[in-house]
Amino acid sequence: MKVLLSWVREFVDIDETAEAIGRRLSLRGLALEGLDHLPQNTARPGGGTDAGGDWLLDFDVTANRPDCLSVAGVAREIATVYGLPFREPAQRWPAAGRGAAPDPRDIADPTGLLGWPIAGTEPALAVPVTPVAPTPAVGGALPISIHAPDLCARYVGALADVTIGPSPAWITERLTACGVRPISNIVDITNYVLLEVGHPMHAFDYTTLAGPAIVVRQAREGETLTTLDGKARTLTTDMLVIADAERPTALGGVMGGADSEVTSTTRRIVFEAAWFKPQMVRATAKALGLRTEASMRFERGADVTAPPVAMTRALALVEELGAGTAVGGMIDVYPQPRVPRTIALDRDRISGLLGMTVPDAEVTRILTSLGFGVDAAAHGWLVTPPAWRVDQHRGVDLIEEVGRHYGFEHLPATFPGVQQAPAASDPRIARDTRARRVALARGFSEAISFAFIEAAAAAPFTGTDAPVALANPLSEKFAVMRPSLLPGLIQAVSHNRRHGRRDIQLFEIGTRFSPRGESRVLALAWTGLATPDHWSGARRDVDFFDMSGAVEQIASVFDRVLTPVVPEPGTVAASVLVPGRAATLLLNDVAVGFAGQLDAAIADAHDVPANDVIYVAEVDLDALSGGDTSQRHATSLPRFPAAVRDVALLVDDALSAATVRGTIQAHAPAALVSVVEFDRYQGKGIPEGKVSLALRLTFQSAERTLTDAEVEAATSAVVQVLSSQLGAVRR
Amino acid sequence: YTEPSAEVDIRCIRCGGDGCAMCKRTGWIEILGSGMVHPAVFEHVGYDPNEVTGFAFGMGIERVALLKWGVEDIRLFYENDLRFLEQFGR
Repeated sequence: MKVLLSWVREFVDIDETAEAIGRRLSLRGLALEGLDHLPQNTARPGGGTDAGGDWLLDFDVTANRPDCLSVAGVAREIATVYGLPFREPAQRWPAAGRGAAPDPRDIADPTGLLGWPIAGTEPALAVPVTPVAPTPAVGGALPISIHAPDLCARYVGALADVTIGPSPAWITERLTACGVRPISNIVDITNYVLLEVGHPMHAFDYTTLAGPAIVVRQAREGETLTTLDGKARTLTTDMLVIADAERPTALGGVMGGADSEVTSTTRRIVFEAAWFKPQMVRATAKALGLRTEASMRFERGADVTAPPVAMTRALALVEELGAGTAVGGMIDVYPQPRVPRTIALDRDRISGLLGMTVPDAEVTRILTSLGFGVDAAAHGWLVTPPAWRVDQHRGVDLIEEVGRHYGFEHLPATFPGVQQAPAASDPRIARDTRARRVALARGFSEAISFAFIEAAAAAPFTGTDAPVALANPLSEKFAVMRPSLLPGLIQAVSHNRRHGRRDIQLFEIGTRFSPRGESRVLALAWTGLATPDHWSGARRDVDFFDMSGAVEQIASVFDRVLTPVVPEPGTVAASVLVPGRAATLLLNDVAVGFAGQLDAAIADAHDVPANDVIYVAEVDLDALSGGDTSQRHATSLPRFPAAVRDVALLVDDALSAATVRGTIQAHAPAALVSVVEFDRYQGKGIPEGKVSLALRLTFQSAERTLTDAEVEAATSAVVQVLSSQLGAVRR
Repeated sequence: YTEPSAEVDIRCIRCGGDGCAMCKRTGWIEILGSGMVHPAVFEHVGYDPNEVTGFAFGMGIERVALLKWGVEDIRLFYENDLRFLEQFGR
């Protein structure tokens, strides 16, 4: 919100420099965003000039403070900050006929439309939508009736005979500095009042109004209106229109109509200053794709007591500019006057919440200066917020006003003392750190990606579960909670590949989600070289055993040994990994992860270059680290030497190493302490469909050294088992 | 979600408080938001705001890192480009 210092000074006598004011207000809750000196803005009201030019302060006004979207609103804040008297607009331009106390029979605001919700009343008390009898204008020139008092609670109209012409320099300079284009005196006056008092006004050409009459009503289905921007609009019944006796002439709170626009030949105008329901203005503006200064003000909650003040100011400006004269007085249609609510402010609660005591005199001064009504009460005060403070609902809101204006610099800079046993650290943090260190040591770099991903990216990883979708995603890219960390990692691999990087090792520790809950996992992605490029070593691309070895190392941090098995059809592992280079990892017969080469179609969906080979893995850290890790128990060292025999066997190449190992273990003689497959050979000399397996068998007894004969017999026994069960042939 | 609320600013790291494009010529950069938990929040989760008060604060850790190390674009923290990650050692 841009305000000019010279204009502010019409409301408060502030001597400080613009920089000082900006700094001080920023500390009090109204942040200065920009500051400009305008040496060319020298015209002042009343025809004076100021050679020093002017200062433009640009404040960042938060959505809950629409009252600061005006010179008067900002000036009121400045007055409170500096403890100066403020020239209240309602007193500068007192509307004739106002000042009477509200009729106690008047209905309090039950629907909270005006920012005055009353605690304890039933919501949605029916607001009668009966037409209110037209209020005859003075001179009878313009009857005004409100037919939708819930959508338009107050309508103030006035007539003036005018001569359209340019505005004086002090008006045009001020408007231009604040980003508003000057057009002609009457339109400029409405914009000037908007900037000065914060209330939007509108002007109609009186002679274009059928009747003449002003009828404030809901639009009828199918009614149309060409707005000031020249566009024809089709209206719906939830929109409010300002109509004449025949058809709509303006969209209430949003924009005027082209047909009733004030032109250079207009001789008599109707000024409008009204209050429109925020939700209705917002819905209408959104439905029509319109956003105006007026709609923005009404959406945030306008001041229902402002229309007469704005109107009086506008009529005074008409006179001052010599643009014309008012015809009759203003017509104030306010069928259901609102009564503001009071809020209890407890003295102890102020100091309890803020952590500092604010002297009573300061509480009263601050709130009174801001326009609140303050009455002493038992434990503090009963405070009545002014009509323009739509953000004031309960005690804490008042306490914030008191706290920020008294100044947070009064808060003692102490560290709060807490007497409490420290909470136990979540063991998962230490656990994740251990896993992280192993991954880093293995050459992986840590990635962080989003927990929400696109539905298409999640699909291959959900398995038999339904995806966990968000009810209100920010966009399609963040529609689903990730069922795996791999989509994000593959995306990262893709990004790095597309920026020229060939060798990539990335890991991520994070949470994945399913309808059954969430678990914390570690995922790995690896493409390119298996070991960093160096002239001394052979260059070799990563393979399955590199990845499964990395996973094994991570599992060993938790004293776990994972058993790799061929993935079952229908599992995630089976659908995302290349068959033959895929393993589901079991811990005590429960699947806790998988590892293998990523299916090319999934890589392609992430724009990974074709023909890239990516190895991926994911393990459930919760499962790895949960439960009892077995108590260690040392075993004595063997007292007698072991005997090693190597055997080479021809087996079907479709046979997995796991099957071979499993068969041996199932029928192993007691002396067999280890089996290691140390070679696997296909090609020259090996028949089609077969593979030569080299096994190293280690035999050892705890009681004595085994004889050669015993070792031979045991070796034969093993070979015999493999031959009869698996058709192996010894070479 | 908080009332009263407070914001903590640090002196602009680029201009030291003189005013520049980074701090929109104010000399200050917002780094942290905080406040007393709003009673409506307590009511919503079943606490009596007359019995308990709460203090909340938060700052974007990426933003602090960005300011401290002069990272040009906050998205670099999520793109996982190794040319960025590898600048930050082990």
